[in-house]
Amino acid sequence: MAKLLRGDFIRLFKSKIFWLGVIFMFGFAAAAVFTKWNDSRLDPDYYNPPDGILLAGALYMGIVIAVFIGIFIGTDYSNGTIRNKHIMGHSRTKMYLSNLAVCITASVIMHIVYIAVIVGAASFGITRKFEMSIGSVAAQTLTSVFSLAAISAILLFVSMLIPSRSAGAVFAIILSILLILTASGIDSALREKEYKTSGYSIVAAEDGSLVTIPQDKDPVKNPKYVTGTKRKALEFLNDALPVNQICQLVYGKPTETSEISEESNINTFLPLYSLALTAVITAAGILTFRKKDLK
Amino acid sequence: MDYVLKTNGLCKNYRHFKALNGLSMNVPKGAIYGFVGKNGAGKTTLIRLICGLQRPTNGDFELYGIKNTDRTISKSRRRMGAVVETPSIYLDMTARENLKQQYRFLGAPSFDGIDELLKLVGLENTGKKKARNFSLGMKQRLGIAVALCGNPDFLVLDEPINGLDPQGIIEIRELILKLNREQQITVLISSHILDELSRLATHFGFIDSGRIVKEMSAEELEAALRKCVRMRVSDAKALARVLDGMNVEYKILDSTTADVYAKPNFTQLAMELSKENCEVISMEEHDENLESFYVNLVGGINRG
Repeated sequence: MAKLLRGDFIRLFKSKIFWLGVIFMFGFAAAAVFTKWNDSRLDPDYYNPPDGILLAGALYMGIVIAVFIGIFIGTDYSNGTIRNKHIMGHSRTKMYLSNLAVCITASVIMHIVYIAVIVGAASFGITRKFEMSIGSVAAQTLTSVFSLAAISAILLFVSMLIPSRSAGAVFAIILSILLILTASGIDSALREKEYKTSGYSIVAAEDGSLVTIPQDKDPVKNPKYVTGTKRKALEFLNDALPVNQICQLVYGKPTETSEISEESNINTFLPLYSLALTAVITAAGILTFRKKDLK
Repeated sequence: MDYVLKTNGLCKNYRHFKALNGLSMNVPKGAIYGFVGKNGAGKTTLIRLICGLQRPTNGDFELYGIKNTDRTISKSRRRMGAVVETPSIYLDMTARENLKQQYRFLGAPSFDGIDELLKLVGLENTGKKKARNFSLGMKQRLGIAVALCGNPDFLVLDEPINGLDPQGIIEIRELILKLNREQQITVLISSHILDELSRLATHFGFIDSGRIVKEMSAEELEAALRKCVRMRVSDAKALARVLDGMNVEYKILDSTTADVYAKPNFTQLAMELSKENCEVISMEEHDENLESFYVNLVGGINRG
């Protein structure tokens, strides 16, 4: 296994697609910092801490990881070099695990580069200071690392089973987009309020300010509000799916009482869900890869 | 006789298609085993199975006496190197980097031997040129060098001369002969370019429709190839009439040429042809080649 890891990691650090991913995440973070800096410059009184952008990159990083893993693993197939490893006596289980280690490391490095830019900008006064404590920043970062590991495991599963580089990459990208859309859908469903007013009127008050007044005095039942088993299932998926976890870290845990949680009431077991998902997906991947016909 | 590889009734099905249909063959130690068959006969499938890339649907094989179902088969695979279909090389790396990468995967303590390997395959002067910019022949030779990294004593080459120019073919042939003669490496080489195989192989296995049709040594093949006299005459039809009358086996090649499988009395033959107003233009001894042997063999089997 150590021999495989050594070879695969050296290949990683020579990989152009990996360094492109790192540069992209650096640029993404720099753009987020610039936006924050510019907003503060235009309106110095605007409440504008960088807390919200700390993990925003991770939310969309699935797509970057999908491109990287699809091409990195697909190249091993298209060059035929995956055959060499097996012919020289390496077991398929070890080959799979070595690839998993490399892909998770690559994802974490890209993520750390993003976070380092955001934290660095806050430390050097380019943006405002974090509202949350250093401990919370570290805890959220660590939780997101586990989530990214699970995303990497899912995308590796797809790429290891699709030998075509282009098809593997495209499928991985589609899957990562589906994960983001699923996360967004579940998050929205859980944020629906049980009762809501049917509409608002905006009228001018005597002092000239604008006031929002509900059209109906009695709020009506919201048909989109999810209850019972369905709600429990969505809450479970929201904790278990890795992109949903990152969504929770960025926007707070969805509740019907507030659209965006201000307090962090995030499930501290999220890393355990990620670990379990990574283990299950990897076990399924190894079992399938061991039976797969290689060409 | 010691055998490096023995297969026993190997079968491989891809859904309803039988790629291998009870294939049994034996590769003797020290041999260059030419694996002859047309496209789709099952050559690559067999190579994939012995490399462990795919599992047989039925049957088994032994590599250095270890069965494929044995857990230690991966240890005996370390004694083999293979180039399956296309050379397995990193296209974004140089020749030297490719060999270094292979050494790392093998867990070699140092990179000693890389210079010798590059020299052996004639790639010592490629410098910083990436493998993607190599010619097909260079890629093929690099693929062989990669396969040789673990000092294997069994080398499996799947169609190594496909698509190569004449110079590339000569280089690969010389390399294979060198490896076999100087380093005593047993070579299993599959090809449908029969003329080239006949210059290399010490043993032959003829495969058709997923089965070995015939297995023989080069000496046995030499003895089996029929000798003939190739005659050029002014009228092949007249020659056919005369040979029929003399009860001699022959094969008409075109309107003026025929192969005569026997040694008839040529004075009598010439006189009979003269009566038919047919002139003998030339006569030369001719050996049946591997190609026609294979066609007869497989054609015969298929007809049967």
